[in-house]
Amino acid sequence: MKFVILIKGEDKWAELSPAQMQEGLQKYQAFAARLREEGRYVDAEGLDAKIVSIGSEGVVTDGPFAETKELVGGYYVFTAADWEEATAIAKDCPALQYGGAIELRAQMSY
Amino acid sequence: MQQLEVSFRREASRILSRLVSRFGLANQDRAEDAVQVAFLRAMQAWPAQGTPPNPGAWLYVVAQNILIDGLRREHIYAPESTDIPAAEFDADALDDAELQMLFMCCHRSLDDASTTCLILHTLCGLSVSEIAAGLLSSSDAISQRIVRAKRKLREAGASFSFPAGDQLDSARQLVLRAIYLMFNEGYLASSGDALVRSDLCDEAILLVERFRTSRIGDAPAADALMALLLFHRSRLPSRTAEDGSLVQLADQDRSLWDRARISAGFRYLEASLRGNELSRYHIEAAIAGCHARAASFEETDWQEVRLYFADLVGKYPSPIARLNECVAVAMAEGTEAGLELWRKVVAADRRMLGEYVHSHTIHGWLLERQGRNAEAREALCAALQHTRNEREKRFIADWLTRL
Repeated sequence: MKFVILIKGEDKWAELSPAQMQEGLQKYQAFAARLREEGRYVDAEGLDAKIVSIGSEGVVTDGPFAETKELVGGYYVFTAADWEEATAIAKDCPALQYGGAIELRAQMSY
Repeated sequence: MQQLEVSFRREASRILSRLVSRFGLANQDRAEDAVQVAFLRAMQAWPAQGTPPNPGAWLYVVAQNILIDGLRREHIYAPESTDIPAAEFDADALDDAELQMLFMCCHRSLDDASTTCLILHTLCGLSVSEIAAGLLSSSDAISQRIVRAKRKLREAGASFSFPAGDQLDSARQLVLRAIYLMFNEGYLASSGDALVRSDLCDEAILLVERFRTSRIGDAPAADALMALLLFHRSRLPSRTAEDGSLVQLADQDRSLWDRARISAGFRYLEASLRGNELSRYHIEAAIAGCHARAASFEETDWQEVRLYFADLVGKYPSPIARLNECVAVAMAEGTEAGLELWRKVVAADRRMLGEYVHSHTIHGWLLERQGRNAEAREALCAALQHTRNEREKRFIADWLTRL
């Protein structure tokens, strides 16, 4: 079953020193490496802050926005047997240590 | 886990220096933000895509793009502008810019405390709160100091360049002095977080090493400073007792001294002897070397220490050096000679030394060695009145109870 971790609003970064940033990177690398080693890794990306919204009336709005709390800054797609396993994995995502919130979503089951 | 070959601390300093040298001091804050965002992007991209083959170049290019985008957004450059001073990644140019940044931080227009903060912030990659912890100050005070220092540099029209000709030597001396003071902040601070303070000392040592091996820093005085800092650093663990109190040189557990740092110190000291230059770091390192070699305080070669002190106060006179000379003279020639010198030194500079806590502790130490405990007690009571530092107070109070 495929799951996606949506990372939102990590806003602690501005205060961190370069060494602390590097430590954060290493945590993310360890997180990604573990997903790969366990054969769960599907995809991951950081997302640009620019947002183009296209509504039914054809209106297009443009970012970036000042409010980053709700902004999805990146995602990890991975496989897990069920919600329980996926939740346990998502809890290990380093975003939570840096003031971020995680939204865990699963592929729709039919 | 994949081992990174990049150090964000080093890259922060090099990339920031290069960006500020190209985009100007006026854009330093924007450049700092751009470097920070580049690190953030690395954190998002590298775990997914793998670490790029040249991480430093990746960070540089990304930071530069972020900075240019920001400058365009703020209309500092027109969207189609072609006069944007972007440049490709060039490791040598980054190193040069970093060195110029170091000279800039030691600019004449800045006071010592500002120079220390600026170096720690821009070249050592310490956050404001880390600097505050190391310098026993508040984050607000440190960030204000940094802001003011940057403004002063802009107002003074400081430029990114290598000092040339006559100016090179004096600029080099300013750099060495700044690093020496920065080390002392970490080494002499008598309270605060011990770990943070040893970090400050290590940063200073790293900085001398970077400067010494740069194409412009090669000077005997830089080797001598390196030796001095290594000797002092080797003793750092023994300067604090388990309960956090100060331990004097005479009472330090010498088995705690770091032998590797001491032998490195002697190698640098030897290297510093090329040429004719005899800087104060040479003499101070020679003195520190005598202590590093000695099995105990009593067995120290005090004759030699005394001669070095005579050199030091002769060439680089300072009341503090003269006070320390009293200890060397007392050990080399006898306590009476030390006391006699002490009286002379204090009489010559009563205004400053009368207020200086260690002028009184040294007096007390000399009197105690002569068994004049009542007078020693008086001297230590005087010392107590001239310190507000809690750790020093406790140290003197403990001493008083032993007398």
